[in-house]
Parts: sequence; C-alpha cells; structure tokens
Amino acid sequence: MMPDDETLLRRIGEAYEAIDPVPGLVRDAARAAFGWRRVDAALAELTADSAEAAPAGIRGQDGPRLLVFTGPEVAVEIEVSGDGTDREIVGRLAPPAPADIAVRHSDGEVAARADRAGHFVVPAVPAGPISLVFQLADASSIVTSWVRL
Amino acid sequence: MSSPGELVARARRDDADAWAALVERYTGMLWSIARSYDLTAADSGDVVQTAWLRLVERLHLLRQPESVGAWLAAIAHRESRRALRRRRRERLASIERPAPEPVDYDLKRLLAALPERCRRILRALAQAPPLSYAEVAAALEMPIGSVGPTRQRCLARLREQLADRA
Repeated sequence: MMPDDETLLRRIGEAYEAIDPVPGLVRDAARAAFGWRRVDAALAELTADSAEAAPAGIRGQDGPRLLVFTGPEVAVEIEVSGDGTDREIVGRLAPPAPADIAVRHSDGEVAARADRAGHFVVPAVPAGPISLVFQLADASSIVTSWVRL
Repeated sequence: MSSPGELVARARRDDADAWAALVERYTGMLWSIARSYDLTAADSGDVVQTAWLRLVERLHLLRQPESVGAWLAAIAHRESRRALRRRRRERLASIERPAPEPVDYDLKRLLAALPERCRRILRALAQAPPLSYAEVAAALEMPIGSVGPTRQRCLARLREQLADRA
C-alpha cells in the first residue's frame, strides 16, 4: 500500500528529525531572544563591516574589525580587537554625547561609559552575538543591531 | 491555530507565548535552510540565532507581519551565505562534517538518493506545523508557482523508489 501525501510527508519529517534534529540549545536561544527586546530604543543598523568587505585571502585575521551602525540620527563606529573569549571594543558615538553603555551578550552584559566626545572603551567582551545599548542624558536610548564577534 | 500575523501582533504586545509559538513554527525551517548550505552545526546554530535576533530588533518595524516566515527565511539565506564566505575567507577547513546524509533506514536512504532540490522541498513541506506555500517558496528561493508542481514531481519520484524497493 502506497502511503498518501500527508502520511509520506509526515514520515519524511520524522526521518529528518532523526537524521538532523534542531539542537535543543538552538531552540532555547531562539526563545530567549525575546528577552532582548527594546521597544523604547532607536535602532542603529549595521551598515559596514570590514570582515565582510575584505577581499578573500588578503586580510589577515589579526587586524581590528571595524563595524559601523547607522540610525535615523546617529552613527556608532566600533573597532573590535583581540581574539578568543575576551575582545576589546573601542568606539565612538556620533553626534558626540556622553552615554551609559551596556554591551549585551549571550550570558549578560558589560557596562561602560561614553565620554563627552562620545568615545568609549569596553574591555573583556565575550565572543558570540553582541548588541550595544546607549542611554543618553535626555533619557532617550539607541540600540545597535546584533552582530557576531 | 493563530496566523503568523496574529502571533507577531501579540508578540509586539509582549506576549511571550506568541513568540514561543513563532519559534516553534519556524525554527525547523531556519535550521534546514542553514543546513542546505553545508554549514556545520555550530555555524547553522549561529545563523538561526541571528535570524531570531533580527526579528526581535525589527519586530515593531515589520511591514508585513503575515509574511514573517518568508522574511525569516530570507534572513537565514543571507546569513548562511555570509557564514559560508567567512569560513572560506578564514580558510578553516571544517573538521566537523556538514549536514549528514540520510543513511540508516529505507526512507532515509531513498531521500538521500533524490536530487538535492527534491530533498530540500520535501524537508520544507514536512515541517510541522506545515509551512504555507509562500514560506516554502521563500525557504527554497523559488517562485511560489513552482512549489506545487515541484512537490508533485518530487513526491512522485520518492513513490517510484518506494515501489521499486517493494
């Protein structure tokens, strides 16, 4: 007896579930992502990434990576150096303004502060996805797109 | 069952259950897209996570909430290509094997013998809860009008093989 389409597709689904299941950690991370929602903050999206632009085979892996995020009225530039689990971020907020910064990552966040020129340094940032939140003096806030370090 | 658009609307109002329902509905699709690029499990996990983080940050900006599945599929394709380029650039030969081929029992072996396009569309069509044709089209980057005919052709091929074996 040949199974009907529905039965066949269900069996195909079961076969893939056995061959190549979605890891539990991947599902957990997807659910947890909702906790990172910031409706109050203006989004600055990734507009340049030196790791993307570098032509194949030319760029070494040692130089700092430059990333630019652009929002409606702001830009955030960061340089990421270091490797492994500890990376350092040196950055600039434009237009320049002092701000409290939280670098969000998979396991929590690292706090930092931008000076009046908008400059900031964040040591010891873990590898993996990160997003920066800037809390400005006027109580407005800016959040960058998530990027993977 | 709530429509994708309703789930997005509820998630926008901070309903974590609606978010969990979106995750339940689309994570399998996102995973299969990443795996279709021969990415390792670690890289595929990163692609899936990035797609969900993108949705979190753009949830309130999404113009067509009803099309959230197709939107996520497009992100997964883009991030998979990005991951592939990064791997090539780093010239790190991946030690981990990419997507394993079906091996151990009949259906798995028969699936492995199908053309890649058939494997991909059948896997997308086998998602539970089922994806819409628009979502399957986005997951395979094919025109929506090709989904029905390709589905028929690929199911027919699988049936032929099942019949040969019998």
